[in-house]
Order: sequence, then C-alpha cells, then structure tokens
Amino acid sequence: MIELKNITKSYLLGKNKILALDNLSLTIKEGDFLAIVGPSGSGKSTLLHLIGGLDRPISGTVFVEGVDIYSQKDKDLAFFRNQKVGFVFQTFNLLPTLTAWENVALPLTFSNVPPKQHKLKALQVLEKVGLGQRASHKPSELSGGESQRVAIGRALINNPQMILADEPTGNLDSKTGGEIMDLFQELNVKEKITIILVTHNQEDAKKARKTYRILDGKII
Amino acid sequence: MKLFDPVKLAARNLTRRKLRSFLTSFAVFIGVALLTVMISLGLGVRKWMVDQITGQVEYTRITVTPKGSLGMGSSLLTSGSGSLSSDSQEEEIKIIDDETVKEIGDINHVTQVQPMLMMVAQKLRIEGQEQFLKTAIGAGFDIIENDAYNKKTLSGSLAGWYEKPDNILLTNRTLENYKLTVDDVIGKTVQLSFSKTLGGLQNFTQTKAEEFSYEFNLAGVIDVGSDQANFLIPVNAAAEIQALRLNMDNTDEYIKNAGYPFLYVNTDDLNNTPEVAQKISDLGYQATTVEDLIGMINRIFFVVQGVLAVFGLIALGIAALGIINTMVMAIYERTKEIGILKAIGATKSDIRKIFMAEAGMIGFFGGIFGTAGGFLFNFLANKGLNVYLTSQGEDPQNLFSFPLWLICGSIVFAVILGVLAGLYPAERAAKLDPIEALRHE
Repeated sequence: MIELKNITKSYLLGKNKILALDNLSLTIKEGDFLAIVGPSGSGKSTLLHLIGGLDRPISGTVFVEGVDIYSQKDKDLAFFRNQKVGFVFQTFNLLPTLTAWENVALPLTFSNVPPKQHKLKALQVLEKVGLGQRASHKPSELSGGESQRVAIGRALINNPQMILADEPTGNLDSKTGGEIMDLFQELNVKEKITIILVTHNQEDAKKARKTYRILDGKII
Repeated sequence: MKLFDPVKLAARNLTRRKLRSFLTSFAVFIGVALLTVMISLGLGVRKWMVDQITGQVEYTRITVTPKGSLGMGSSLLTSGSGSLSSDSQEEEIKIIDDETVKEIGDINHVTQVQPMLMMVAQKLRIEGQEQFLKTAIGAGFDIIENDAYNKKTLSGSLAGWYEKPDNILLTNRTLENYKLTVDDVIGKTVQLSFSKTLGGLQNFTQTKAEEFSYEFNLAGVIDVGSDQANFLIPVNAAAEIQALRLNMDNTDEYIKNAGYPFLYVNTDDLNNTPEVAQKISDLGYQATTVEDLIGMINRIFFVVQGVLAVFGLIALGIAALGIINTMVMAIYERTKEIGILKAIGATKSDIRKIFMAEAGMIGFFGGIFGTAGGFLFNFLANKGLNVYLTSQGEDPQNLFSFPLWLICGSIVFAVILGVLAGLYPAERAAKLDPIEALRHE
C-alpha cells in the first residue's frame, strides 16, 4: 500500500515559485492500476517522482508498505528506488552505449545480484516484454516501441512493487502505444504489479482501473 | 556496486569519445614520459658516478688534503704541479709533511698511509725512441698492488716495484704515443727531464731554465682509465727530484716546505673509517671518505633530480587540468544519463565512483604509454650515446636506470593523478538533482 499524507511541494521556475502539489493526500492499494490525468504543469509528474522516492516533499509524508520513505537517508532512498520502483519515461531514457540486455541489467549493478547472473536475468525479462530477439542491439538500432519495451524491462528487472510510468506512449504512434498499454495491463494482471500512469491520452487512461484528475496540485 | 562495474562503464564511456579521451590521455602521457625520463636519467647518472668512485678506490680509503684545498679526487690533475706552493697559499694552512704521515699512521685502525706527490716532467724519452712527450704528468706514489690507485696491470710484475728508487711505471696511453706495445718495453730505460725553477711558479715557456735528467728502469705498464697520468715513480724519488728542481739541499727540506698535496689513508674496517676521518680532521686536515664523496654526489643529484622532476610535475599539472576539463564536459553531456542512473537506484557514491573510475582510467592509459614512451626514449638515447662513446674509443655506459619501482610507480602515480583530477567533477556529478538531470536535454 502507498499512502501520501498532506504532501506539499513547490519549486522555483526562474524567479517564480510554482506550487506543484498542494496538501495532497492519496492512498493506492497494492496491485492497483491507476491513471493520473491533467494538463501540463498540474503537478502529475511531481506526484510520480514523490511516490518513487526521486524527490523530497516540502511537507507531508509518503508511506510505502508502512515505511515513511523520506525519513530515510539518500543512500537508503536510492536502494528503495532500485528495489521497489521501476520508472518508465516518455523518452525511454536508455543508455546509448549499452545493448538492450545491458540496459535491462543496469539496475542490477546497484543491487546485490552477483554479476554472473546479470545477463541471464536480463534475457529472461526481455523475453517477458517480448523482445528476446533484440537483446544485443543498441538503442539506436531499435524502434520506439522496442525501446520502450527495453525500458519496461529495465523497470522490471528487480521485481519491483510498482511501475511509475510518465507518459510512456507520448513518443509512440497510437498502435504501438496501445501495445505498450496492453503490456502494462498484462503485468498488472499477471504479476500483480502496481502501476501508476501519468498521461494526457484518454485512450491510455481507459485501460487503467481508476483515473484521478489533477489540477493545480490537487486531485479533483 | 562492485569495483568492476564503474570500471566497465568508464571504459564504455571513454570509447564513446575516442579522440577526446586520447587527447586527454596524451597530455598525461607527455607528463609521465617526461617525469620518468628525468628520474631515470638522474638515477642512471648518479649510479654511474657512484660506480666510478667505488670502482676506483677502496671503500675504507680516506683522502687527506690540507684544509681549504680543493684536491680530493684520485685524478693526478686535481692538485697542483708539486712546486713550492706554500708561498702562494695562506699561512694558516697546515702542510702535510712526513710528521703528518707519522701522526696519522699512529691513529688506531689506520693500516696504511700513502703520501702522493704530483709532478710534471719536461720530456719523456724512451730508449731508442726519437719521439718524446714535451710534458709528462706523473706522480710519486708507492702502492699499486692493492689497487690503491685504480690500476690494471698490463705488463710487468708490480710487487714491490717502488722499493727500487729508479723504477718507473708508464701508462698504456703514454705507450701509444711512442707506438710501442706493452709486451716489448719492460726493462727499457726511460729518461725524464726536469727544469729547475727560479721562483715559486713553474714557467713552461722559460727556455733559459737549467735542465736535468733522471734515468729510470721501466718496471711495468698500467691502465689508469680516464686518468691523464703518464708515469708513476716511487714517492721518495719524486721528492728528491722536486727538491732538486727547487735547489733545495735534501728531500726533507722540500717536504717540510711544500708538503704532500694529499695522502691516502686506509683503515682496517669500513665501520672505523668515520672515526679515523674525524681524528684526522681534529689534527687540522681535510679528511674526505668515499662515503663523503658519495653523499656529496647524492646531495647534488637530489637537487638536480628535484629540479628535473618539477618540469615533469608541471606537465602533469597541465595534464590534470585537461582531465578536469574533459570530465566536466562529460558530465555536462551526460547529465541526463546521471539522472537515469539515479532513478534506477544509483547512490551519490556510485555516481562518484563511475566518474572517478573514468578519470583514473585516463590517467592509467597515459601512465602506461608514458612509461613505455619514457622507456623507449631512454633506450634509444642510451643506444645513441653508446654509439658515440664507442666511436670515441670509450667503454659503453648505461646512463639511464629504469628500475621496476619507477615503472610501477609512474603508472600508479598517473592513476592517482587521474583520480584526484576526477574528484571535483565526480562530486559535481554526484550532487546533481535527479529531477533536473532527467529534464536535461
């Protein structure tokens, strides 16, 4: 279970202070599939970062499995991201020097998995996301849909509790985007992974179990 | 994160910008090569000089000279011509005379005291030879057989040769002037001509000076290496000739007035040498031990090497700036990548390690190739030097010393330099805010 209590977050954009999240509270059950929709600058990405332990709120607490994650040191927060969270981005964010399987295995570098198991684990995960044939290709040789599958594979490698996807179909055509959404659905159903999706796309949002609208830092 | 991981990632990143990595490494290469060549040359020349000394004289040897005089080496040229030098020298200098020889001989642990006289003959004539040396440099000196004067015997038996006052030893270099071979000269008559001096100073151009000659029996031929000496005669014979040159009545008077330019003192054990040297020094003479000489060479080379090393260090300082520049640029280029790594669980320390490994690797490659380059340069330079030396009829020398510690040390030093240069960029990378880094394009 993920619990956000009275979260406030603001940041500076130039000289202007932007209030991204305004005393927001939210509870997400384990195994849920949630879509967060809202206009640009409504604070939905900030919400995703705060759930995933990538940022720190100005006030309020985030509990994941009963642990106040922001009471931890940076080092432990990094390990939390590594073990419990899988981020998926709009622009895939793969490392261009690494092959598909090496990109997938990269989070293992920061965990306690022995190096000898990295390749085997990565290949298994690539198989799961339907990209077993492309394991040795560099990102520059992969299509957008394939790249996003590699990114999802990377998010899955440490068997995380949740996948946090920030507009994962934003750079894909609608057909490919649909396939990616199907993959998320499959992972949610089969692997019971909590999926939190931030999107502009109404079609994508329909595939989630629940949709929250966010505006000016508040859920409406 | 295991040590291997950042190294692996670093290697990938370096190959991504091959030319830049190469150029940055090249600056390290130049610095390391310069530093190793400087150190190697310093070590080699110092070793060569120390070898020259230790190869020539016994370790237990103390060279005694009058206080304030400069002559302390074994070269026959380092002291004056043996003329009455007390006239031109200051009063307080204590002359080394037979009294001194006795005094020093009485010191505990002293096994041998050997006085030496330097002299110049106007002519050196060998029986049946029309050619002659216009001037010949020589010394009165007795001990040869125990290598007290770095001699290689080429011909003749030298045991007790000095007991006969008319015996003479010639150097092989002198024989070359007379186109004689060492095998057929033993027992020949050698005539030395000297000129009487009017004043205290000898004047070679003086034609009116009265000349006198002595005849000697050639007892042996020796090799004195690079020394300029032409002949050696027993010290008593030398003193007699010097006295005659100065119109003195006897040798005692000459020694009392002019003294010996130096004495060689041998001790029974190396451990007692400093003590004996101190006692001689207390008597009012300058006592120089082999250790003093080596110590002096070491001190000089410490300074010389220091100065040379500074040039290498300046080059390496510039190389370090190059590494910092490259790393700062790499971080700017890879800001987004740093954000990704943080998002998937990299800690600050992981990021730091990745960039320090990269900087260390630049240093490592620079160090490897720099050391190899330095080695190659030394090898070729020494080859060239020896080609020259051989063409000049000298023995080949090894002026570059390249010990294992220098090879390992240079590489380790270059890696440390790289890692240190990487500290600041790595810290900057580690401190990046992941959200902002991810937003970076």
